[in-house]
Amino acid sequence: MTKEIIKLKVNGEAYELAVLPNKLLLDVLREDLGLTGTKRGCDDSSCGCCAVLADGVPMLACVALAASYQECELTTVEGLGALDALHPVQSSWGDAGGAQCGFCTPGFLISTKALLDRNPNPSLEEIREALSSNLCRCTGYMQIYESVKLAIERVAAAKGAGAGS
Amino acid sequence: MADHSIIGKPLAMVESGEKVTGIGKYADDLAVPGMLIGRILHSPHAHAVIRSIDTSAAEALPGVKAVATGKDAPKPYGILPIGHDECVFATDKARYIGDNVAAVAATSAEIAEQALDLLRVDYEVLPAWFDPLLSMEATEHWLFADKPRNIEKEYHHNFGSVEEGFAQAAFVREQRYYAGEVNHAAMEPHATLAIWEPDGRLTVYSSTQVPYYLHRTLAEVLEMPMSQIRVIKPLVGGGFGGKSEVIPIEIAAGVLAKKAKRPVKITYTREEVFYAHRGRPITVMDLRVGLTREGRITAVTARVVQDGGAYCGYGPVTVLYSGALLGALYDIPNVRFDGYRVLTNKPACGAMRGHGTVNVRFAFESMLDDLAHDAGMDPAEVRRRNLLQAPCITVNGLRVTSYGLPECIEKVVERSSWNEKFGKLPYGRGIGIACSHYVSGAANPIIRSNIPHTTVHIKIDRDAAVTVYTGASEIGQGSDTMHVQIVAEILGVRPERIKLVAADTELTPIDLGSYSSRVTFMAGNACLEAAKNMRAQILEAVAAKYKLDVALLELRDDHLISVDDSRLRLTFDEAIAAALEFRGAFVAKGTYAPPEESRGGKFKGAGVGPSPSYSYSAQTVEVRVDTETGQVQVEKIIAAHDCGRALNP
Repeated sequence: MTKEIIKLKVNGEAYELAVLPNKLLLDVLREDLGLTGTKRGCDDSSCGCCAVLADGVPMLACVALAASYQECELTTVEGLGALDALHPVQSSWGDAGGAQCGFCTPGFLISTKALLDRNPNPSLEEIREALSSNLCRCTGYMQIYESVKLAIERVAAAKGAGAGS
Repeated sequence: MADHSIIGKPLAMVESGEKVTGIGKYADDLAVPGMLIGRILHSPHAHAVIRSIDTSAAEALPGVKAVATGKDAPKPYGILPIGHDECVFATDKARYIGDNVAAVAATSAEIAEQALDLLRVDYEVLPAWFDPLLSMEATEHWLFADKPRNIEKEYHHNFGSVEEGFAQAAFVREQRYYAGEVNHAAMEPHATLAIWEPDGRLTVYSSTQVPYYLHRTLAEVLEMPMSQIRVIKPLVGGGFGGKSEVIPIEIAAGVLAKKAKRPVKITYTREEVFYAHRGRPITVMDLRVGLTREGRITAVTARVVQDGGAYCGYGPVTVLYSGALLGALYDIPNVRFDGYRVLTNKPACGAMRGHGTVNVRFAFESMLDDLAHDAGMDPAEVRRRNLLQAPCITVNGLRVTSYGLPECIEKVVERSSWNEKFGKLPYGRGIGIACSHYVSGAANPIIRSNIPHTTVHIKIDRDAAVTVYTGASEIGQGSDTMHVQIVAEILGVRPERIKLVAADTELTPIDLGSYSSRVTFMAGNACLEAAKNMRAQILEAVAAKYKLDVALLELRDDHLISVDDSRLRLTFDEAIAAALEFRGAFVAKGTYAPPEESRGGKFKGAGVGPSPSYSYSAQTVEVRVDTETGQVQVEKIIAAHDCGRALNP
């Protein structure tokens, strides 16, 4: 197999890369772009640690070929917000204890961002449904639901202040 | 305790920013120039003699930089000094499907995988043992020639007289309980990066809960002095016991790095995590318990068989825990325990949350409910009638200094509306209660030694930054934050002023690791001592410079002040500048070792179970049962934990 040139747009940056056509998006993000925030927790789309946004829709990078996503705007956890400019979803996770070991956190943040973008005021049932493909081993999920609730408030407050999200 | 400014108040984990932005590095996120990718060849047979391994084709593949087999590191090791029965790569035979046979390091993962396919292993397949009850009767094909009938260890403990106890009982029950196997399934698969340094030293980054034990094992197996090896724990994506032994990904990477003279990274697939395992064992428990008409437990006998899998690992400790905590939650005068750790041709079991105690606790609490039914008593009341009277020493020699179980029971009874619900819910619904307890740190180290279980250093120099050096391992439980809270509290500074350096054997003093729920109690106490020591040094130096009584000085709100008449008010930065005059940078040390009287009895196996402090819990669970299918739906769990004083609620 020979490498092919692919073009990706990740977190607003355009990249041109030579990769094998069977290379997974997860491996391209982690190895070629150094975006290691997206994690590999399993190898078969069971755990949700590798979730990224493709045109705003959460999908699993461990079962996606990088070459198939050349037309998409991709967002990884690094694209949500930097340390000095956290997205409300990120700050809420820190403040409400949604992140313990932190390994599942990027995937949960991606799923939550997508949820709140399409539904700014989800019910607990809707939150559980939206996060049902992300696994966490530390929290027992309660702190995660608390983090989402805090994020809902903060996103609403930011919008109220005219800052948008 | 009233005027704490940081302890007892919620503080976000100090590393939460790294975790929510994705910039924090876990072991598999690390990459260095020249790094090779390592892959391990696992046995496809449950039990097979390895006649030979032909590595020539793999070695000839372009891009392959090292191939390692058992010959490269034949020294056996194990987490317990009495259980050195594993080699990095099997030297004589493979003992389970997934056992480590060989490994390769190559310039890419693809080449490494191709190289695995080129390794030619000649196996002579043997009959294998999968059922612990059959395995312990085996007359041939033992896993180890020196372990007759595949019994790794057996222990027989007798406290009081169970015969007399059963004679006093009005109700006696006898039953077999079975518990299945569980894997920790931490979200992060194990990963390691071993760097062979140009000067012949080895640096190993690992997703470990126990850097110190890893450090020792690397030195033993690689036959290098500990001083030439540095172990660094980056962020760890959960452990739950599965990263509390060497399993042996790090040694494999070390062997390959040494052979290739290049850095080698190995990251397990999820499948390999299950091969490495070290989870909670299948447990077969034959339990007999006696109860008086008044609801007092008179005697307990337990025969516990644990399916340990193919290697010793923590096994003897796991089976001892199942006995040690069996009779120590309640006041039970007569206990007999017969514990067997049995080898089978399956991935090795080990420590997992509530190490060894959970399955027998399930069995005992289930039987207590049945006995309460026999006696016509409320199950919550039966538990109340068998409480210990702390402080006390339990029948098996465990020192209990505080005992929050009565309060836990009262809380869950109240919050669950137990009295309104027990026995009164409609058909198909029910409520139950159970209690438990666990150590807050094992009082005895795995390797007997008089070195403190943990040591913490603090340094302050002219920049007035407070640098804390701890060997304790943050694995998601809040270890790092706990250290920052304690030091900030004692030195009266903002948490942001504190820089934590943790779990790097070149920089940080020894801590035994994140296991047995020990870190807050033990590393926390060492940290407290170090911080108090540092505070005394600062106050003495400032008192000397300003000719003030040291007893009148205080560190508070990032300032040093004189409490009586406000003669002195310095910012922390000014105070440090003043204190350093003629002295230079301050260093302070704190240590913790469990007190002698908390270390348990003298009988064989008495070292497992003792703790300087125990935590207690009670739970009620309400369930709905589908009477057509038998499916159980858990509706509500109320849990009360005696966690002592919550440092970060």
